[in-house]
Amino acid sequence: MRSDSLALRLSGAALLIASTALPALAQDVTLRLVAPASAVGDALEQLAQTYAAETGGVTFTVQKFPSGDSYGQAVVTQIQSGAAPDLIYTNAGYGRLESLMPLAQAGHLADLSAGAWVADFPESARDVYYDGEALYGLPLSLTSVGLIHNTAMMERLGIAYPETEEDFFAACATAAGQGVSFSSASGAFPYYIVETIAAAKVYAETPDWNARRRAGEVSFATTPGWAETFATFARMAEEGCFQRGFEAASVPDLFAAMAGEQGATNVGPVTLAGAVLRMNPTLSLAVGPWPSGENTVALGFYNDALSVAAGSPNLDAALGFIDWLAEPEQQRAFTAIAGGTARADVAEGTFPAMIERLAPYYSAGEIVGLPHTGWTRLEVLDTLSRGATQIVTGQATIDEVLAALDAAWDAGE
Amino acid sequence: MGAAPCRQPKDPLMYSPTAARAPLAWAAPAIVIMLLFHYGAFVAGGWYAFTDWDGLSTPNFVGLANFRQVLTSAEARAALTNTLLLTFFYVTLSNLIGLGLALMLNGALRAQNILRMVFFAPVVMSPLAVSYVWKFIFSVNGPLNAGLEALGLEGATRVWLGDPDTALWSVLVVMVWQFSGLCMAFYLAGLQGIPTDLIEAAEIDGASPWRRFRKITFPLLAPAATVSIALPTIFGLRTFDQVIALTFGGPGYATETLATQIFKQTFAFGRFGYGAAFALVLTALVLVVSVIQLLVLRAREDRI
Amino acid sequence: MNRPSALNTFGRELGALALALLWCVPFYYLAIVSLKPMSEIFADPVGFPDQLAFANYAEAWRGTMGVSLGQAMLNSLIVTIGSVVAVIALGSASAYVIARNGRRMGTLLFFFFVIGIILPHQLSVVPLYSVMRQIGLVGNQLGLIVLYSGLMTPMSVFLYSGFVRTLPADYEEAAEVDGASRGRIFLKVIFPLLAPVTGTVAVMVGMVVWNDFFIQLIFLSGSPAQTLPVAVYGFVGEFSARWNLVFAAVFVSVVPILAFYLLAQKQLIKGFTGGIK
Repeated sequence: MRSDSLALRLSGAALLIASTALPALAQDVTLRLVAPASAVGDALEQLAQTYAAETGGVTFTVQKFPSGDSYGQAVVTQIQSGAAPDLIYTNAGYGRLESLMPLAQAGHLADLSAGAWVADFPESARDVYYDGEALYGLPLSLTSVGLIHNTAMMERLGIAYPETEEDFFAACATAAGQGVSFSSASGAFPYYIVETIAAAKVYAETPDWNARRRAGEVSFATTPGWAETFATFARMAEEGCFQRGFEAASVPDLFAAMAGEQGATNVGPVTLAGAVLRMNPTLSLAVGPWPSGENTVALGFYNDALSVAAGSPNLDAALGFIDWLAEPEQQRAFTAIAGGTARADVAEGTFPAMIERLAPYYSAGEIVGLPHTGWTRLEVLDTLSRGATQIVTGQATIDEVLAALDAAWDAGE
Repeated sequence: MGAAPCRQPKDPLMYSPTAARAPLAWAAPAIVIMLLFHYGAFVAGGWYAFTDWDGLSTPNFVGLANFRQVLTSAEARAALTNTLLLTFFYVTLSNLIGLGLALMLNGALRAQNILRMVFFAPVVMSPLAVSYVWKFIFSVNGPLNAGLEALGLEGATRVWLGDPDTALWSVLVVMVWQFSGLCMAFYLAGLQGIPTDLIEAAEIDGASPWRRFRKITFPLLAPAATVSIALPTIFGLRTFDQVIALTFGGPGYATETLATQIFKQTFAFGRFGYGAAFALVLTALVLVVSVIQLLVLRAREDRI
Repeated sequence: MNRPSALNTFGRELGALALALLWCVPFYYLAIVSLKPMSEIFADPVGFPDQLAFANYAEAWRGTMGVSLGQAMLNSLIVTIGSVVAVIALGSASAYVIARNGRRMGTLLFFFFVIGIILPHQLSVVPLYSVMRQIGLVGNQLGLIVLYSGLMTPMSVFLYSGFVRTLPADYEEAAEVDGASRGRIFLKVIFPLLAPVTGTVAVMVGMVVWNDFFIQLIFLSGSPAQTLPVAVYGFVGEFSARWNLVFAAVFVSVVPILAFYLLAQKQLIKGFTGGIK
């Protein structure tokens, strides 16, 4: 990695020192990468080390922060205090502090659209990675979202994979009759369940619902699919589909419930299945679509992304690393550690056995992105999570929650 | 009371006859620190409250818009109500229990030192650690529900932390359990300052125990009560750790407090302006309540 | 109250004992659950463990994200001691200046400092974070020591002032006549006289810093310098619902402060209640 500007700046100094020292100085670039302390962070760290070993002169400082809210906080505070790292793990679209769209729109991310890999950019992710013609992240892998299910446990319970919602509720009754819960939920963060149901009830019919909401053509309150979505969630709670006490459960409680086989299924991202398997490797887990009969669709989104800070003093070196990371070999190395499906594999139509039930939808192009990645304001997602719990705990009606969602959406305007 | 004989005399400032005995320069480092860490940071943070800063873009001045939202939004109303409810019941209950414990443990009880030790022990622990222990006790298959079932009270079992009717009170129980011992210590210190001959004289005069308490002990406990009310009030208004560990503000907004909203709006949603407006409201609340309290309690001390 | 009837006393004793047992319930569960093997945690979370799994402690001790609980404890200790020393130095000197500087100046300075006790630091933390990040004081112990020194100075000035005011100036005048410098007078004469209140300040500041979570969460999470509360929070985030491991970690985190409390009980309670007579 030879940086021209660096070489220029150093040329003056180079006259004063022995000429043999020059190459070493000119190539000495250290890239700082921030990532969450999770499998994703581990994968990025390993790949960075591989790259550093293969490419002389580039070294990495990898800073990890606890995944969850604190990661986003760390990123934002680093950026706002003028100490932005060179490389930032980001998320697609909007919806989190580390989401790339708000960062990009505030001018903190570099445009990557000149990279050679851009030619095979996945079309379904265009909305949540591009702002106009500028591209702000390298999609690292496709994260599937769906009904994570313990296949052996379902067999023991005598439950076949549900095809319709009525099948699902029947399964809840069957499981409850045998002293376990068919599914589980976290009262603090139930948004995966709600959004997965909404994918079938709202987005299957209106794929551009988010864009139309932004344009003010539709609203939560006037879209019957949203009311139906919350009604379905409330029915799941009412008919005992979730574990007892789910109202107070946190997300790690869900991992534990599945790992301990108190629950047979869980709606969430495939990464959750990975976390459960780390706790209990003997389980056989698979991911399928939310059962919605004719309307069944598969959720999948390129959530994990790597972005480059706009103000990076080592821009060329950082872009070089992105180009290398975009190669199929590195994509697969990443997913081997972090989970998910490599872009190259999606393009070829080869999917891991775990998401077999989703593969036909993906191959047919029936991919719905995670709804909230297209919501510009974080509070809308928060309102959705709280609202779902408020409905099942009797603190609010569906109509009130829909109104609150619209109010949260419009709050900043 | 060897520690600090600092009950304020009427004229507390006793100055050395020679002027400027201590050079002002000695206070300079602390003054600089105060200017930086308190006043400067406070002004900087307060300024955000009048902007729409999201932590990323250039802030725009938005006047009082954030404050209007603090006064009207559902999350803010819940946070304000919950904070006030928690503070009121926390101060009341921990003072009642603390005073009861102090009266019970003041005097020649066997093992009273060990008993005092037990009641005070939670005070020294981190609220976070304490809250995790209670989270288990309140959990659905936890000891509280198991105990109720063992007593044949299946109907009373609940999802304590997930039920909007009980979540806030569960947080309150944890706070009262942890800090009643502190109020006890304040009142014990107060009781030990009451001369025994005063009480003995009243006893000889034939005053009933209740009368003795009402007329002698209680009034003389006024300074202890001042601290024992003022300190938990500030703690209560700033409640954060317990909520984060026990409920994270849920279900819905049932246990949000001003401090958790400040944290979430600022650090989770990146709404630095709105979060700062919350913080200013909290500051105003703490200032007003503390000043009123101190005036009332001090006046009461003087009256008695 | 010198001659309470024996029955009365016995009744009070019984009542106190019953309450104390109730108060101990959380400690009981903290101890037994931390020793439960994983197999019992879901089947019977409440009962006494059939076999004691001391291995929980070994696992908890390892912590998460490469920071062991031992390391976190050391970090907490460094931050706490550093902050206490700095706050004592700043507070005692300032309080002395306040008490010995004329009525108007003294009162002004007193309020200048003491207002800092009530201002909630939730508001100042964001700008402080930005500035300290820029000068490299985030993610390390030094930064926290600096920060706590700033945040806790008002409290120590308040505690010291109440005491210094009551010190008669005779000692200093005597020492001055002997020709000692002011610095020497302060160090050799005044500071030793402040010992009781220094103890109070040390205890109060030490406890607040040791147990504080909000600031440490913001300034240290994810860093190798993370302190006990942050480490325990991260640990619970990862192992939530595996109550045996969580409780082992919580137990480890409260042992030092409880041990300190048992050893220095009298001084500690005195520290809290020093202002009451």
